[in-house]
Amino acid sequence: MPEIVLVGLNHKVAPVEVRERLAFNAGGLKEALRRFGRGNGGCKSYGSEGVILSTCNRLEVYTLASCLDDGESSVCRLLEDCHGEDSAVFRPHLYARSDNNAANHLFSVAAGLDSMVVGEHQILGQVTEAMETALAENAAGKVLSALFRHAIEAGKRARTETAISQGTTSISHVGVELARKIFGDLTPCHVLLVGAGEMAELAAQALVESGAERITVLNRTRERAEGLAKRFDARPLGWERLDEALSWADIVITSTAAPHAVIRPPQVEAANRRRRQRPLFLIDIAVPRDVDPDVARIGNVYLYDIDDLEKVVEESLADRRREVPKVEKIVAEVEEDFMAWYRSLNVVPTIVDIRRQAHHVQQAEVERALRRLPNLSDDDREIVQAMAKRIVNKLLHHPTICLKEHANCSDGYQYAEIARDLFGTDGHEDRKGDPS
Amino acid sequence: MTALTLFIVGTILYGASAYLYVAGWIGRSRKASDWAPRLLGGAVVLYLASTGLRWSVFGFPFLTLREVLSVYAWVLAVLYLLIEVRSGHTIIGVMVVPVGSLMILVSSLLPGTQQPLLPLLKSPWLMAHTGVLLAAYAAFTVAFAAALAYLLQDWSLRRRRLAWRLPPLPVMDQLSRLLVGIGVVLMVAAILTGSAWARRAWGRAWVWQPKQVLALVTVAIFGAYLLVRHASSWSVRRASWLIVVGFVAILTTFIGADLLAPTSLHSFLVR
Repeated sequence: MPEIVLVGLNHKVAPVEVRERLAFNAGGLKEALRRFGRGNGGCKSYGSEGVILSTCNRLEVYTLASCLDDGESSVCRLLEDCHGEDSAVFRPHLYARSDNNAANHLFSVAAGLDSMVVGEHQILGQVTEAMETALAENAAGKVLSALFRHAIEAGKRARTETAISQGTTSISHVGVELARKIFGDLTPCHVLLVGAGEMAELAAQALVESGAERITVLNRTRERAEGLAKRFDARPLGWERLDEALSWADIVITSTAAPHAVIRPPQVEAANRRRRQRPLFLIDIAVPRDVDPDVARIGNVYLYDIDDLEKVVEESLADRRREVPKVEKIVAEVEEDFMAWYRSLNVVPTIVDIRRQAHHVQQAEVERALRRLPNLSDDDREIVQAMAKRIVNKLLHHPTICLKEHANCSDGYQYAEIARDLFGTDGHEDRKGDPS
Repeated sequence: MTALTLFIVGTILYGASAYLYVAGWIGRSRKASDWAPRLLGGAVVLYLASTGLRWSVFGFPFLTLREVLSVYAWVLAVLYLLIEVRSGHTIIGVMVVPVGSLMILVSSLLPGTQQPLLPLLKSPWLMAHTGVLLAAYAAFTVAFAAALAYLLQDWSLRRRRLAWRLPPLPVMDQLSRLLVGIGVVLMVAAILTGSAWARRAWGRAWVWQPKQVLALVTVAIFGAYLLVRHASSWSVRRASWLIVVGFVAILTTFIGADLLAPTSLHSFLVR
């Protein structure tokens, strides 16, 4: 019975200098994957199955090996061969896990628990892609593809059943989420950029991606406004029209280098009279601040400065961290599910199961026969019983020997599986299929 | 199954749904929040079946305070379910469904019909008048819940906290506006049917009983809300407080008027 072995490193244990040396590009990844499996063009084999998860924060190789140490050294060889690096460079940073620990790790990764930003979405796509690439290169076989399917299930369940992915964790997207809460649909919203700082540009970009169509750029220097306007397909406007713009804009992002506030309560109050009930959302990214904090007291005005945005991000992360125990429970459930299937591939329990089943059949048939032969003496009954037992044992003798011989080979689980199929003893029929 | 069994099972489902709404919200459990409306829908179906059976046996159901409270709770459930199906937000259910199940609980503790019905009240007008009024109250209740959700979201946005699970402001605002509009129309209709009936029964359309006056005040407050939302520069926040005031007026009409004029025909104590 081979073990599932994971060898890898991530942002928590390895500095970027090490991670970047081991990262795979698309071509390198395919080439590395081709080294797994048997009979692949005379290449040296590194394990009968392999999947490589390579992202900017982690490199993890999943493979099958006879034991953890074997797996670790063969992965090290693979990384040495593929990257031409001495394993002394990266070996101290590697972690290695086997079987249920490896499965648990992968499921946690897919659920976003191991990510730099807890609960982020990207990793689930990367896990899926890693599996698909490995399948395309014939590197992932039955065991690892089942492992990864379970990982994707864990990732999906974590995100739908818990709030681990809820909220926003980047400052520029916080603006979008706040705007959504204030305006609902962003399409009809008019965005006004006051000043043309880089952060403001990012925030505006996020708003445009979320549907905002009308953008106006207002800057002290006309050229800078025009440059930025061109990028967003926006309208540039002269600085003198700020007060007027406040009466029609919905979302105002300020980022000027002015040493004092450029938007003060009287301006907003005057604009508000023309705005009627429409809310005004002010995002002040500038330091020192561009908007007088007293503006927030005006009705229908929502004012956020850079610290407020950061506070929202922090709270959002704290909310996610509170969900971690729930996700861990899901991971544990999926792990149990997967391990039940995986253990069923093992040879020894297979033999036990087949024998137990044969024993049941034997007993049932003997009882039935004896019921129909009520006149037999005790001696005769014993003969019948012994005969049934001998038939069963003789029929099972060769399959048992054969399975035991293969028990210690790396392809043992395939025999076990076929045997289960033939004898119909698949106790985990319901778990065998796709988890999706 | 008898009408009573159906009613009891429906009531249990209603209570379970209320529990799931609250638990799903607090525990952030999507499974609970998914099951809550299904249970509520089941409760409504059982209740309708029970009412149908009861109707065919005992006749008209809206009479005692006990019955009125229970009918109100069920109208509320139906109205809320329509809204959840349309908007997908559950926060209103978290507020409204527990209130509804509490009403049923209270109503089941009240005594049932004991005395024979006053001959004056034996009229199809009773059904039109009370039924429409209860629908208006249910609409106002949901509008009130939406206004609370609005004020809560607004408050958290001003405190620089993002309430992720509360719906966007315009969603709640539009819902309040729609339901207050419906409620005002229904309540005016209830007052008109009431006057028409009073004119036939008492010879006078309007007798200035406390309940009548309070009902007028209620309509005036919600009417003012509509006016303010339609044509003024009041902030939505300020206008939403009018809904809160209007809801207090409803509670006063419903409970307070009986205390002010316990012998009037509008009082539940008479029957």
